[in-house]
Amino acid sequence: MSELVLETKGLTKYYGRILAVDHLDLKIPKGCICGFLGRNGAGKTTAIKMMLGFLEPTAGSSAIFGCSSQNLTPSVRQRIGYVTEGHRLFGWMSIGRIGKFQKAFFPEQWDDKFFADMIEYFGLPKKQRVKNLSIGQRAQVSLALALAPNPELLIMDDPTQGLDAAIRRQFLEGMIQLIMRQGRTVLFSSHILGDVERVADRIAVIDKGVLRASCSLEQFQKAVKMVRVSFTGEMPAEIEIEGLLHCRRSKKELELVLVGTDEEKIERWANMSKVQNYEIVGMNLEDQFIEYTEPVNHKGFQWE
Amino acid sequence: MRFFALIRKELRECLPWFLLAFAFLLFFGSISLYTASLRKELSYPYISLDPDLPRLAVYRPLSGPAPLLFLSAIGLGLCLGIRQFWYPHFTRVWGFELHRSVNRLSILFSKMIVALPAFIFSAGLLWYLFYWYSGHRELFMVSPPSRHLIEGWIITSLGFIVYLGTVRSGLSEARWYTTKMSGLGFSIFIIVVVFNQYKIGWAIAAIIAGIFVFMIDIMDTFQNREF
Repeated sequence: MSELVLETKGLTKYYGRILAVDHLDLKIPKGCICGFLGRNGAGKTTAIKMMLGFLEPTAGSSAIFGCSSQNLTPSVRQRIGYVTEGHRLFGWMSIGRIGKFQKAFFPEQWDDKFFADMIEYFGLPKKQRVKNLSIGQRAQVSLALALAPNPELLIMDDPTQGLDAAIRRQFLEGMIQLIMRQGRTVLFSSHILGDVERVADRIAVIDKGVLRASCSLEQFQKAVKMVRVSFTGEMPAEIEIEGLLHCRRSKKELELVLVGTDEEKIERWANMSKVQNYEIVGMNLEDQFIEYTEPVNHKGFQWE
Repeated sequence: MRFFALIRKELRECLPWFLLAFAFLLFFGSISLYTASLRKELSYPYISLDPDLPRLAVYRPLSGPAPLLFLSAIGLGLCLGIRQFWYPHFTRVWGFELHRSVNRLSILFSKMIVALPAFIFSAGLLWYLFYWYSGHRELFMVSPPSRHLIEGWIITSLGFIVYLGTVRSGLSEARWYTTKMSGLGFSIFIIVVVFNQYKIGWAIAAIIAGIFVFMIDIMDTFQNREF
């Protein structure tokens, strides 16, 4: 594996008796764009805050550029861009002023032209105060502030939350600007799987504080499959196939969600189980994510 | 450059409160002194024969502006503490504020370095102005003793104590009905201790001790607090 930019080892956080993050072992190699996925309350923000040293872990450790997150030095922080959840900025500052403020902390790296270009690209008025901006505009300012210092690592906590499709697209294109600069690493949490699919090359899935997957996007997409099966006779009461995650029954068909089961194994199982016909259904990342993080015995909502 | 950026930001955020405290004390303090100068019977210093009277009581002609100074200093302490340490929590900007290429103590000190002159200019210097004005023989028969000047500065520093108490409470992660308010409680305790001193030296010592305790606690809390 190439040089690690971010690494957590057994990172755990309790809020009182509530376990928010459970032994998170995450490795982010240099140069990758990692989507940090999880449902609401999965522990993404808590994990990110621990990585940046804003929260103290109950157990475990985290390091960025080899420096412990609890003791990030100013020089290491200078190499990290951070977009906060909800794009919280100083409301009284104008866009121009907040740019100058941010610049003071990145004297050598700050790219004035890049910042001005991004603000112009987003069509933001420089004299407008942050508090008078919409959440979408705040997100754009936030991204410009994080990208202008040309950070080696960009961490974004749900950056596209609350943005409409057009602004989200602009935001992602802004992000791609950074990605195009070589050797830059991005970690971003998101609920919008379409965005992740578009830009990420790696994903980490966290569910109820537990890291359920950390691999390349391609690997994940190959691993999670849905197979629709119909039988010649009666459907078997129990299905035994490697990697079975969910099994849904209808009158004539079975829908199996499988993880890590290759097509050869599926075919072998189909031959052994008197399967009349089977079909591997195409899934997008959103479907795969939902299936992957859905509780095993989840029955779903049923209309009476 | 980084520290100056922090100072400028803090100054801009706190400036309205400085000016408000300054304007309040200047306006009402001036009216109070002017009214006192018009009243002949108040032109003489009040001499207490009661040995039990606390010495820190400010006698005429500064007895009018003194409660205003107290109100102004305490109010300024509360407002600055809330603006600097409670408001970022409500608006959730701590993440943005703390992710800077400076250490946390620089951020803390930038806030305090701005708060300290606020008390000096908005309360201390105005008090000196009132003291100087009340020293005019044509307005007041007897000038106030120099002790009153020191007492005014002691009252001003009580404002700073309240500021530190508000900061400590703002940084506390406890619930408001448990130990969160202990910082403010401790500052009230110091105020009570100071007002019960007969000797100015003890009052100053109590203030220095209070500031020392607060500073150690605040520095430690700010370094280790979760944001």
